[in-house]
Amino acid sequence: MTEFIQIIVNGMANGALYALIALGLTLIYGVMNLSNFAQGEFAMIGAFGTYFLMQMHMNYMLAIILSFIIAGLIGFVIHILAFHPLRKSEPLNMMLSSLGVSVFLVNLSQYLFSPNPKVVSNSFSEKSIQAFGVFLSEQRILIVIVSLILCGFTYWLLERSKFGRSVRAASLDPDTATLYGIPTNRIAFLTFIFGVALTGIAGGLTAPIYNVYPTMGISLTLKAFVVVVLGGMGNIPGAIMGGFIVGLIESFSAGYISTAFQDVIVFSALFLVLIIKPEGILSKVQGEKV
Amino acid sequence: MTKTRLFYTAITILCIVCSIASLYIQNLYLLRVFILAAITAILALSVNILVGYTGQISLGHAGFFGIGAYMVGILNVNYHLSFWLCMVIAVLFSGLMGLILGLPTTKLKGHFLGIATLGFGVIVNGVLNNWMQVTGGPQGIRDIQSPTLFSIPLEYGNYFLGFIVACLSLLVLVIYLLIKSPVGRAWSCLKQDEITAYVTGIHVYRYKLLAFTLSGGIAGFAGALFAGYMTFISPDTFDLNQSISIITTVILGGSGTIAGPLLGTALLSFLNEWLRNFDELRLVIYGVILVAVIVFIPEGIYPFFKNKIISLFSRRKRVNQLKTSIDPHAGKDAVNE
Repeated sequence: MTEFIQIIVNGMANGALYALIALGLTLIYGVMNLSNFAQGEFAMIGAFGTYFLMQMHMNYMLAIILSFIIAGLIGFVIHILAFHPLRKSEPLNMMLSSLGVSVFLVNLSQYLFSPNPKVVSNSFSEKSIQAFGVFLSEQRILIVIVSLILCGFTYWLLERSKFGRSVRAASLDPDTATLYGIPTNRIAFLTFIFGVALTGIAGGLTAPIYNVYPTMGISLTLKAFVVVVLGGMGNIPGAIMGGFIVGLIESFSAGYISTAFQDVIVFSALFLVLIIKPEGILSKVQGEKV
Repeated sequence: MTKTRLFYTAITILCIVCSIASLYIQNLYLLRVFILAAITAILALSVNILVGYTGQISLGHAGFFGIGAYMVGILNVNYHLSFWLCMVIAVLFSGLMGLILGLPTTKLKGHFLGIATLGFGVIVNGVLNNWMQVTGGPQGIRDIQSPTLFSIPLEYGNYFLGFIVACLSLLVLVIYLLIKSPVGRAWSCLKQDEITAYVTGIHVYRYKLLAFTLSGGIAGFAGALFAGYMTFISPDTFDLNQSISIITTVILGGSGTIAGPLLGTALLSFLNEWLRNFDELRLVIYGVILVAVIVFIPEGIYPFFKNKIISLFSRRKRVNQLKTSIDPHAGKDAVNE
């Protein structure tokens, strides 16, 4: 029984992380119609940012907040160079462009920082709490708390603020939104920056648990895509739910089946969802426009 | 008529000359680059059937490539079947896998299809890496028998290159004939607009499934050739990077044309070898070039230069005509809204 609870707890902690990355991904998809394959690389940027700031004896929490800004800035530059010129072309081209960005970022950081994993240790990572026989490191608790706060904040931003209304309008119908005076290009810019910056925080949060290395983003991107498809593309509550579901599937398959086949099982679950309910488990069915 | 006949004769002669010339290449390094480029070209053609002719994305083609290679490896090493029999089985099996993947995924579109096929690639790679008893895990399979064709040993690079160039030429011919046949017309119709195709009486799912099966089979063929040439296969050849590099080859070259993927393969193979001068910066530059080409020439290199060259030799009126015909959005909105 304790093993069962331990698995659930671990799954939830990972799931919160995936939810955070998927949140950025789904926001960007909704507004720009872009499947951003470079999403995980921004987690890598955030993690490296956190690592170097911690090397300069900065407080961990402050480093994470700064990694939000670093990822946002790099996202700004990349959006100008790689995505903004393609805003009118086919979505497939934008996706390929994001693949190119991913190759570029991974190999640049490999060149600059060497492929060796770097250890980030903070005051949370060594300590763990024990309750009812279940171990949980404080870092994981921090991940869950920060992720939930950020998810809540994003939800509030989208549902209640003026910016959020424009984002929703732009993702529903960019042309009509433009007619109503919403600057859709600027909204796309801000959404991209906000989306990748959220992922930057996620990277900073994982750093103490999984170390920092240039290729860390690739598996995160794949997981985030599974999450987004499970929850429905462009669906915020779906992304949060999906994150937890993927985290749980992953930890259950690692706990009860095999660690090696973990990815295979996660993607098989994705296939199952795509076959049974391709629009995502939380979405309402929408007919195709003729 | 005579002009087109001349054109085809020229291409046929070019293919034959290439096949024969490949026997006289002395440089072993060059030989290896050419052979791997030819295998990539076959892969690019197979992806082009999906991406270029039916408008579906595949981000998991390394999966089919791997299935083909591993079928040959397993059957040849464990069961001592002859290479050619293994190859036939590999092509049929990866075609079948294409059909099986196609059954659920032909109903998906765009990004969802991309992610589903991506998942397929990850699953295949995961199985190859972890099903130790059959695939040998990360160590891969060694000592695959080199094929012999009519008592010509293909383990010598020259003979293999000649053989593979001949295969490639034949494949190009088959695909060309297919595109000109009713099947090809049905594909191009459903690529433009699925609903219109449906209304016209084209069985959309059946034609999409056919594309999936063929594409999987051809990729498996490339895998079988790869296994026969390398005699050693391991899962890291068939990972996500491979899938991505295949589809970028097709798109950069110009999808939906036959020359496009071939040109893309030639350019990218050359670029890859040339970038070796930059050591660690190789893939960084590769990424930059990829983004730059997509940003500046989104329709692909071959159509871009084709239109440039045509516009050089013709009057202005015709240029404008061509420009409207390559604009992907022209006329589309009128249908959708």
